[in-house]
Amino acid sequence: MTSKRGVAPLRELELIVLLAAMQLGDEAYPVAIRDLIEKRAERKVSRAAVFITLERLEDKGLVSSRYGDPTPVRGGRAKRFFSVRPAGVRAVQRALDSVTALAAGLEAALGR
Amino acid sequence: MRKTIPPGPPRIAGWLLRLGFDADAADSVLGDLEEELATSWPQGRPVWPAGWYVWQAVVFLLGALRSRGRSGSSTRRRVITRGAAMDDLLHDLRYAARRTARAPGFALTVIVTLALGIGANAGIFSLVDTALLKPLPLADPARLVTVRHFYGERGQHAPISVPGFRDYGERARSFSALAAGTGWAVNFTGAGEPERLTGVRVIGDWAGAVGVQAALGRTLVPEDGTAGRERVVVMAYGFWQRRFGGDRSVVGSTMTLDGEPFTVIGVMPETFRDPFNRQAQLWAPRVFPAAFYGDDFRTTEWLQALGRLAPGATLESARVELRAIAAQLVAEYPDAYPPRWSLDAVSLSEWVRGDLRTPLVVLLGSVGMVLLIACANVANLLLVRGAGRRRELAVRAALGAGRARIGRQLVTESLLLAIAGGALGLAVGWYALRAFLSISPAGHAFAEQASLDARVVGFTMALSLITGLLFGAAPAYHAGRTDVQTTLRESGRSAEADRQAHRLRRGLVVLELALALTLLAGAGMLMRSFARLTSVDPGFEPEGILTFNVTLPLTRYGNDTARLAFFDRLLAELRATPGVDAAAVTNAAPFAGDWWTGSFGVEGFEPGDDALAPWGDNRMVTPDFRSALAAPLLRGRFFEEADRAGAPRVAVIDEVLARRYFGDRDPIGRRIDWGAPGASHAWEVVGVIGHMAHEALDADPRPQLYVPFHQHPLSSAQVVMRAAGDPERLVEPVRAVLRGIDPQQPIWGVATMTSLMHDATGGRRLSLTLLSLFAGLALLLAAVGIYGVMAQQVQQRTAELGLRMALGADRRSVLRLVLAHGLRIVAVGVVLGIIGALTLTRFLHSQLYGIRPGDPGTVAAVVLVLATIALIAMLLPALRATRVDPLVALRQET
Repeated sequence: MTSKRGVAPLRELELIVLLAAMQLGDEAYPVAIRDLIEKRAERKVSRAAVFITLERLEDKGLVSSRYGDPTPVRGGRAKRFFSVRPAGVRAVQRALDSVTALAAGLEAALGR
Repeated sequence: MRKTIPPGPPRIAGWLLRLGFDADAADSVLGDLEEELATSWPQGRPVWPAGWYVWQAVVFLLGALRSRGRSGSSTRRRVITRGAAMDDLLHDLRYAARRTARAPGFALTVIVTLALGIGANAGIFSLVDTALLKPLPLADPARLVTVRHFYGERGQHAPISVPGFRDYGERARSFSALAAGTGWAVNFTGAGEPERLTGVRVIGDWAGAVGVQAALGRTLVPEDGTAGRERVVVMAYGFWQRRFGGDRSVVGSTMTLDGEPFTVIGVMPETFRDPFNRQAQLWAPRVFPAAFYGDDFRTTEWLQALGRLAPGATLESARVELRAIAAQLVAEYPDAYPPRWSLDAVSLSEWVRGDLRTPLVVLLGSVGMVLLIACANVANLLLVRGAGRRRELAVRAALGAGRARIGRQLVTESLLLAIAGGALGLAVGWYALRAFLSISPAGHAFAEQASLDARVVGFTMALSLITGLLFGAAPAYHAGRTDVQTTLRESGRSAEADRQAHRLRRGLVVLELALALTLLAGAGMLMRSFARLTSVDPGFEPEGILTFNVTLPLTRYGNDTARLAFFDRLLAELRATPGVDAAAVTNAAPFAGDWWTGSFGVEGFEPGDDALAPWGDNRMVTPDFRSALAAPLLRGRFFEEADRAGAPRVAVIDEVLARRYFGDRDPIGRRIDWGAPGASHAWEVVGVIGHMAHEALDADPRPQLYVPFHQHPLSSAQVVMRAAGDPERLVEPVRAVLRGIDPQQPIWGVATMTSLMHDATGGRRLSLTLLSLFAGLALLLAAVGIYGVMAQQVQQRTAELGLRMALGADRRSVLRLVLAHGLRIVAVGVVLGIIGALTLTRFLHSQLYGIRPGDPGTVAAVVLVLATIALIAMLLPALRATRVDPLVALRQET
């Protein structure tokens, strides 16, 4: 089932990655995103999964990437920063709305 | 505290990433990985950082492949996109893996069969690679030659002489460096346990000839070979590690060798081996006194010469030049050279490796045949299994899969099994190498340097792929010819397809039988050769003899009197030792690895113009020698105590010398001229004894001349003793006697005569063992093959046989019917096998003794063996055929 704009709904990992990227703002790059997910959501994700998800989100137009300055600790290689675009924010909103709508009335059962 | 820096990613990680991502993205990923590694360094460091990088790159790449396929194309630039071909391949692999997992017993059988075949090939290839294919561990080995004296008449090469080395070095232009060496054995004392070491003493430009830089310090240069500067030594890497713990301060230190101080000037690299003595641990210069360069010594041949071809020279041009130099020398010194003497150059790798080529290639060919048989069996297994899948494949074909597609699927399955077999085969190969090392004679065929290196692994992987294609081809071909419609209609079984499969299987079994017969014939011939060889009479009694070597250093035994006193005392004390029946001293005991040859003059024998002067083994022995070895006395007497220094010079000859140079004349009382050139004497023949084999039972017998040790004493000799009981029990008493006489005198090379003779046939025994093993394996596999075919035959013809029996045929005629079919297969296999045996065993001829290749007796015997085994293998299914219940058979759906 597609949303009003014809874009496929977010998959679970895409949602998580977008949320983490939004939390990190300008400092969102794969290593930091993964660290945040592992710490806050307390779940393990593989580096490849995070990176490839970010690329897929970029393909869908939900995030954009830019390359930062190279640093010595990275062997002189640049960081790739990802920032969430408005379309991405909207997709997150829609996903959260869906979840909230379906969870309405289940507070007691879910112990919240 | 200094924090170590973590390593960066290896280049291969970058390559892998760039296959799936564009360059900038790949770079950023590498940066992320490096950053993570740095953050957790050194506490959280992975065991193998480079491997971790590569693994991460692989994970990223696989993720990219998986993801791209699902979401469709992308605008990014990438090398690998998941197109249709990739889709198919991944699908085929997954399908093959699923199918294999569903039949674990079958898969295991196939994988183990392949692992044995591929592993054995990997092991033998590793040997072949080290011994024959890899370049010698010297600089530019293709430019290295060995210079030899050459006797055209006997077609034999010999080492060069000291005056020869000087002359060839002065006159030859073909070499940029020329060096020569002699064997060297010294006692290393003064640093812990005294040890006997082997080495090489060199003259000439050894550094230039060998061309290898020292790992530590320097190598020997020609200036080291001047008097007063020659007490320097270079040591081998392994020796340096073992005795000096790799201590770098060894350069410049002093070693005591045979009581003399030597300065260590260098250590050779780990991979270096002396071309003429792979076990050499030391190299030192040799300075010859002026007398050694005299014309009398021109044919005293004992230097191994190594030459490096000058730029522009070739082996052929060097040979031409050397022959011309030889002609010049013969013209200038006509009395110094025998007729037909010349010079030759042989490529070094040919010289060092030539003997090994045939046996190793034979082994490789044999083990290859075993693999072919294993492939044929696996193909048979797949064909049988294919029968069960016919329906599935027909359905797929009906759904649109082309023949090629189905064929590719089947080949992918085969490749998967083959690669699994190959990976397991590497483990098999490793064990096979270890086993080979433990049963092979020391230093044989470079075995100690063979290992599963990258080349062997590459060979194994390539072999696995070829194997997979080989045995996958038959089932794939057969599946491709299945008629879809008939198969679907006949609910999965097709008589025609069965017949086709059966024809294929028959063909494979015929091939297996032919190969097995060829291998059996080869093994059989080697076996008969070995039996003939070991039953040759050596001319003495080897049981109960113990022998060892003693070398008296010149510093403490500087003259003949001192040496003789030592040996006299040694022999007297040995004789007094309980358990010793006889003890004697000689310069060269049989099979002890040393020999002295030289020419001599025989009274009344004039060589014709073109013939060679009398020549043979020279032995200096004490009187008990004959009784210690229990050699028969044929005429006259052997030496006695009275034959000492100052007494008339006497000699004893062997029957070969007597026959060759005395003919019908009685040799007793005649004179033989022998001795160092310029100091030659006349020796009166007092006796004739039987010929004794010396370094090999199958060597051409050389004439043997004996003189009393006391009339020609030496500082280095071998002691032979006859024991009343087990000669091994004498080892400790002998050491005790030595210690009592001279505590600083080590003995070495202690061995029983039977063990020495056993070692002498070590190479042959090894080839025989391996080839027999392969032949046995081949026979077993072929038997399994023919059993399988027969069983399937019987099963297919169950209805027909049932009908026959219902119509009155008795058991015996059914048996005959079934067996006849099988015997036809065996007959064709045998005929092809005989052709194979006759053609291929020709390659064995250099290893055979006493029988010809293609010996009919052997071939007949192995045909009998093969036919018998095949008959037994056929009997079981044939008997089962006779027990078919006709009613059951007829009711069975055809």
